Amino acid sequence: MTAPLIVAEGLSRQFGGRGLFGGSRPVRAVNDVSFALARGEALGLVGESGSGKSTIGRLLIGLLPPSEGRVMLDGADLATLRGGAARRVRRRMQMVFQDPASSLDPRRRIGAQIADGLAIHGLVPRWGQGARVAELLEQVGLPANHADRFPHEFSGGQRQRIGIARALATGPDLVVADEPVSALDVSVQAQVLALLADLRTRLGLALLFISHDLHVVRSLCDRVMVLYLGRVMEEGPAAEVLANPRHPYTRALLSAAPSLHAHARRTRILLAGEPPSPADPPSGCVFRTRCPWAMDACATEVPPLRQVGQAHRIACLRNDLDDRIGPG
Amino acid sequence: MIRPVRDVSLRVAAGELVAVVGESGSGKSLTGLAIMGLLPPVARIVAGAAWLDGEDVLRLPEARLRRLRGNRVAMVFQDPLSGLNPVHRVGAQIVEAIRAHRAMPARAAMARALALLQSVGMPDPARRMRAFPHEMSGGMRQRAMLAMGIANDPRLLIADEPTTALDVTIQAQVLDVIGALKRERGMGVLFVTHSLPVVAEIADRVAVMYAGEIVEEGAAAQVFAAPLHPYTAALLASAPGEDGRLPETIPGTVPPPYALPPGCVFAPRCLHRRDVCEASAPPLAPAAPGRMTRCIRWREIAP
Repeated sequence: MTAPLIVAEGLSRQFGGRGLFGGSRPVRAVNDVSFALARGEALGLVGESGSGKSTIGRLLIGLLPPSEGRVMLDGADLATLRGGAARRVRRRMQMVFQDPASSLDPRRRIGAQIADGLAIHGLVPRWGQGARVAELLEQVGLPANHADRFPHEFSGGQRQRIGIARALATGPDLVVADEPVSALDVSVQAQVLALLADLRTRLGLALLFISHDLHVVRSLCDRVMVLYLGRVMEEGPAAEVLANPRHPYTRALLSAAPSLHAHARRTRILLAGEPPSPADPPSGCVFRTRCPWAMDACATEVPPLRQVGQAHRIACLRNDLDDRIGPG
Repeated sequence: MIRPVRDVSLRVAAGELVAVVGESGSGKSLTGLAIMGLLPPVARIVAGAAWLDGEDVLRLPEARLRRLRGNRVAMVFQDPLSGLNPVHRVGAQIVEAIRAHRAMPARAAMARALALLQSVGMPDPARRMRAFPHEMSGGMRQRAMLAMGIANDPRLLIADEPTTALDVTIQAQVLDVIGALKRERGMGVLFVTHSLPVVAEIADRVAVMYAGEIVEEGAAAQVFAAPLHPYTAALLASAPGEDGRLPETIPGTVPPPYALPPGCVFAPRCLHRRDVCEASAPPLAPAAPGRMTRCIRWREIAP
């Protein structure tokens, strides 16, 4: 196996805790998350609001420093890099955001915004930038002569393509896409997903794809990681996890997702209650307060990730569930 | 003048949930707002009627309409914060909704508000009565909105993307509540959404809208199993599948209401287009029993 492109080791991130009057409780948004991503590989992060998936994306590309743990790109710890080395690393990691309308400057032509990365990193001399921008626009399926238009002249799907072109400008090895299709209509969503899949194979991009939709993740990603309140509940090959979910939360998440084949559904697990506040997470397993199969030990012991199949791991103390409720 | 919604006819029976599904700009929300008499000032109804128990609500004077809204017809929106007053306790707001339409002593109205919160599955309802909207999660706010919407046992509930902003496990809970209200109270529900899977989950009948028109209508299970309009088929194919295949795309974009194509509005993007499709605007016509389609070629292209 080749060396991974990027490795996250024991990432944790805490917010707040000091507060203006010293009273606020720290929120642990991400808790001990580790993964590796090879060149050209796509990993999906799935979870509901407050699961920490967006924070992980930001930690990975250094937009936020981790409270604990480290991120290594080609073996170099991001936190130790300074000056030119840090800039060269940033060039290799780019982000695509959910809302292209708010991540583009409404008053600048899109060509100039796409060229920003080229200029900042001194990748292409000024006279060559126009040609490179045209090439990038064509790569994301937009006419090259649209470079001198403004963001409002484009539809939502087209603006997301511009966001992707801007991320590709610096020739990254890794793209973190944070809910890039969630705000789009389903037919436009399909177009953007097809574009991402195509770019990934054509450019050999590693992709961290953040989404709340397991089915979208499966159509694009090799592997998937399911998060709940900042912790990894289950990880494994995307097809395997969706076909054969082993963690109670993944099972519930899949069975709660509305389905076009609603009538063909197996028994539905309806989770009671709401996710607890990340400022006051339950002891032991964070999912136990909503888990239909929680037992006493779940309140005292934080379940470690354990192997349940080929590269398939879950953080659950119960190992009798497959017998009791059947696989997936 | 543009006409963002054209020739839309819908019929909701008591105890029936009719979904209006479409993408952005299809006119689905405007349709819901028009029935409630809540169109923005620039919008005007040029033709048509909306009959509620034999009364045309579009022709009612504003004073009569106010008595109707929140009483016999109620509406819940995607963003519950837009319908809740941030500076009043949730219980008081529900009590106000009740007493706006019927004379009821405060104490009795409080008891009714509590019962309503219970019926929408609000956790710890007695405590939430005294809570402010900002003290609640998105799912709880949407339940509070629902409780307020059904406060006076409406005959018709119009729900505009009520679960779109919610997490999937909470969405499942709220959909269950709406289903139960429909069954137990015999309430008619007009459910506006962009999500086909949600429609498959809860709708009895579905109307698919595209560029301001209904292009297909019928029993939800039948429409999903065998769509009779190419747009419905394309929309279904563009939803992420459960088999992991990449969804299929629909070429092109939705035409804006000021540049509608002559003839069939979907023709420019349709794989089954013929010259005849672009000659004149096709009517929504009966196909199979209980099924309507605006495609003139449905017989030839049916799966």
